[in-house]
Amino acid sequence: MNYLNKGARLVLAALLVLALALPVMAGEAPAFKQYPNLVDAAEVKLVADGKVKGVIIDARPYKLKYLKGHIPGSISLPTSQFDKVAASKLPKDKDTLLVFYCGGLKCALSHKGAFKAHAMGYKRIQVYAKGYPDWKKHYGAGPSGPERAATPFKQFPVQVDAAAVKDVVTGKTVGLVIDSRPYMKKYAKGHIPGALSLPTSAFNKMKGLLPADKNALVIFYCGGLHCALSHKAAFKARALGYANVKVYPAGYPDWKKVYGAGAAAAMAPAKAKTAAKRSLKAGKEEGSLDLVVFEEIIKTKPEAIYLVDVRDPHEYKAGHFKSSVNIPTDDLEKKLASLPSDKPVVFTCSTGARSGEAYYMLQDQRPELKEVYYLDAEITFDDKGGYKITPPK
Amino acid sequence: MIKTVFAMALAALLLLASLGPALSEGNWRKGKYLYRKNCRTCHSAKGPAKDLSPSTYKQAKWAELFNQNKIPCKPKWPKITDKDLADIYAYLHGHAADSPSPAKCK
Repeated sequence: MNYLNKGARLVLAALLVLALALPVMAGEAPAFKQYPNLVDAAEVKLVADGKVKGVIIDARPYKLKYLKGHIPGSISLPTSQFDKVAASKLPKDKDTLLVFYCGGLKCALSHKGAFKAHAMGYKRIQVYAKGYPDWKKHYGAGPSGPERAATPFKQFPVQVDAAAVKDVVTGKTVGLVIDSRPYMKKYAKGHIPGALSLPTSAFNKMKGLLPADKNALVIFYCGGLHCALSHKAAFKARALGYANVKVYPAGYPDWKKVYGAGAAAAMAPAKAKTAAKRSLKAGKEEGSLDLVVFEEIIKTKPEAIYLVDVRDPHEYKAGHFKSSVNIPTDDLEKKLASLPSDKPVVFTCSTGARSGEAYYMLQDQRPELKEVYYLDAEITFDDKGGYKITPPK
Repeated sequence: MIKTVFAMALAALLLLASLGPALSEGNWRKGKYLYRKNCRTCHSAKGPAKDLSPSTYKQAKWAELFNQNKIPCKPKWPKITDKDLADIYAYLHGHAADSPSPAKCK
């Protein structure tokens, strides 16, 4: 009895499976409306590798499927959530290529998603109907876990690779490399040598750090292909009128792979170089300039140095060195980028306090400038253009 | 009278001893910049915390704050190395209200 029962069950199960499979086997045409524009694995791979620009969209459920493995770089947009979140997840540019995929030929989600996107006005939509099972067969399982770029971002069109950045670092190409990542969390722990920290979150506040010359080469980088910060900063810089802006999209992870970890925030190595490369005779205090040398320069060739008076405007007005420009310490941070790198920068004030502070500000924020000095002295001016420099006691 | 003098001398001695090498060897010019960078972001006239200049306190008060770890906002600081802290201390202490050259930030 028992035995027969088991057999009967088996037959029943087999029949059931057949019945379920029949429609598929019969016509090979799935029971849902297919999106007309289908692509295969190789074409999707081009998008995944960034060779063709576009966004790959995983239409499967997020927790059940996406988290367990998905096509690299794809974003999760479960078709069940489409109406709710599509507007925030899909790129704003309706000309962006969208590639939908889900769980293979029997899965309708990618087609449904594609039709919905079409209705939203997207013009370039493809469906990778064979989906994730086929991808795994060709290229192996993709990454699992949460999506890394929840919102696809607009890529800055002018991009460079590690070698081009290296040329700037070594001075072969003249330019400025800018780290767009947060200062404390990222930059301080390691960055491309000589890179300036300009977190994109503080871009508007700190944009004064950008070079004064709008034609200067500026390369932004951040935490790699999934990081939007460098692209955002590059767009902002271009909007400010910078003509030669580039992005190093592979960013710091790539740099580390190619050239090893860069300097950590402690500017120790930069400082060591500072001491070695300085051409003018130093004074007693760290960073200060010998007073005799200074007076000699002021009298005979003032154009040899970039002299910055960091006192307040009313002090400056009352008397100053003829060849000096006035940048009060409070404004200096915003104007750091305007300081030239082709001649020594010398700071003066009335006692050597503010100018010393300015020196250390440059050590911290423009460590690539080696020739920076301040005058450790009391300086007074009379109303006839004369001056008196008194050495510190 | 002698007792008071003795007590004061003792206090001064204790204070000096507690300063230790780390805090007394700071570079005050660098500290002036580091103070602007790390502290004035909050401790300024328009900032969320009390407007603080070196001359706000006397030297003894700065010594007490730094040596006995009595700075209330310390948990909110960005990472500051001991060396930087020594520089900042050199600036604040060296330009305190009762120092030879009191300094006030603007």
